[in-house]
Amino acid sequence: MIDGENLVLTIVTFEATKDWADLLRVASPDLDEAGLAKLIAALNTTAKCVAVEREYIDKDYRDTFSHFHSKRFSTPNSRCLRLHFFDQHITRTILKEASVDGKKVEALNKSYLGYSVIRPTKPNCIGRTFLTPASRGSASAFASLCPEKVSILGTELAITGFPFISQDSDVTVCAESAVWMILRYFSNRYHLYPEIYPFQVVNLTRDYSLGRLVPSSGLHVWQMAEALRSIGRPPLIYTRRVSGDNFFEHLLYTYIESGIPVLAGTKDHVVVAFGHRSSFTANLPGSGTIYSSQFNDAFVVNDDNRVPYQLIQRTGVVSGAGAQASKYTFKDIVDFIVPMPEKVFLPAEDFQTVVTAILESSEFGYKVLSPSLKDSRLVLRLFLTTGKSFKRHLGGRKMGHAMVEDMYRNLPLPHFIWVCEISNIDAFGRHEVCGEILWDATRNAREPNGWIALHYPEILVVDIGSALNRAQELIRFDLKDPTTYELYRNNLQPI
Amino acid sequence: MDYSRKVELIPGQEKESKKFFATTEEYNEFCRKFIDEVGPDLEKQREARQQSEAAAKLRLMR
Repeated sequence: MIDGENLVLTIVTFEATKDWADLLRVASPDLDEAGLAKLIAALNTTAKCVAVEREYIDKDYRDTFSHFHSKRFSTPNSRCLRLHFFDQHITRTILKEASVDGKKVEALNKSYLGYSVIRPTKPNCIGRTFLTPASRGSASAFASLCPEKVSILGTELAITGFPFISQDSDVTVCAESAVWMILRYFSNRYHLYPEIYPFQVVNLTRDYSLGRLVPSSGLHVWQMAEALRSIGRPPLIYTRRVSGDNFFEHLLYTYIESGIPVLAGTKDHVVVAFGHRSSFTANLPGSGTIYSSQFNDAFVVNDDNRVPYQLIQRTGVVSGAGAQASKYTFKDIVDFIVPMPEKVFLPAEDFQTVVTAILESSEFGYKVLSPSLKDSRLVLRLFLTTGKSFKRHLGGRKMGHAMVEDMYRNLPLPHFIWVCEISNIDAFGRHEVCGEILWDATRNAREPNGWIALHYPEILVVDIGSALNRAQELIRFDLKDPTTYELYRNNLQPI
Repeated sequence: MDYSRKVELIPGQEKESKKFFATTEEYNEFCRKFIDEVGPDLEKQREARQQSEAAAKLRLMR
């Protein structure tokens, strides 16, 4: 059903599959069949209604229009369509009333699945797109998400998701699109980073390029890395061939678990990986220490050629998984770029080296200091977080002992800390941990005094020296009646 | 600001805690062993990062 076909805002209510054809009719010529197919793939199971906003001035498309399309003899329209998707039927009245009624805007917000800008570009018309994870149905996964506010007829809706854009094949191909997605995530989530538009992404590489910048013929991996560095995210680059299969996938997981979206390169394409799906109770053979990455069976990615929130499976595409399953598997990822926060000097692999040295040492090892852990098969989860976020969750988690919670609350922490959560098979299956080691992420790995605290169920060791900007001074507290407690969840959100 | 002031992180810290290492020598010995142990791995990882960066110059994404 179509309401207001010739109005600036047209509402298409889906009552049967054929109504997607109604959308094509209302939104053509900007929306073409290929674009519609992508929208159907992304939203077919959830969208019940779409509001088509005409004459929309999209900041990202306008940027490429001004710097590229306007210079052509035959120019496309400078304006776009914006499609707003809802999982319930909505009306013009509902939209209007929600602008002045808090409860109504809340209800409307719950049914809002996000938007997709339709550009007058061929062959890819899907422009800036911001869909909520709910738009794809449950992925049983965890992902980095950022907020956005959207205004429809004066009603402001707030959603979270991960930005998506498809390449326009002129100014942007997959490389620029993937960099744009990561940069938009950062600017949406943190005020520290400026909003960057597609042509600006191209310009970020101008000092590292030979020849012309547009039309784009792609970017080398190192050019993407330089683009990230130029906006204050110094990159680390890892390749599968150098790291080895298991360690490569473990590092990729560790950075994603740290809430850092990464550029993951296949043989000739690049996607943004920003989440994972893990089975916490998977039965892992062997008797050695387990890393939580071993429970990971899929990465959540945005592939500009496909739809948002696809899953790259460890072992291959599951039959019947549809368009939300990527055609790639873990093995297809050959390298990745991590846009590190500026104040993290310790890379994941170095943190792992130093923290495992502590765990196995004759002075601080778990076999020496923790009777309850010494015969356990340990499960370790490594991640980066901010001291501020770590402290914010202390009260809810209780940290297994009041002394530990109190000490961490009062302990001056660096902006970023590496955390190694220590658990065993049983506790981890319940999403619980037994202790952790905190490490100063601004330290050099060769400094033996980079760690801030070590907590096993029976003991807490704290460096009160570096906490007060002095030489390391380690003190210990013996803990009675410890309990397990909830693992840290802040970097990623369930989707 | 008096930098020599004894600052406690939590009330009763001194009473409830113990020094982990009894002597400075013990602590220095731990540090020496630690550096010796992690050094070779860290060196390998530094080389691996350099190799990855070199490989990144050759890979084109389009």
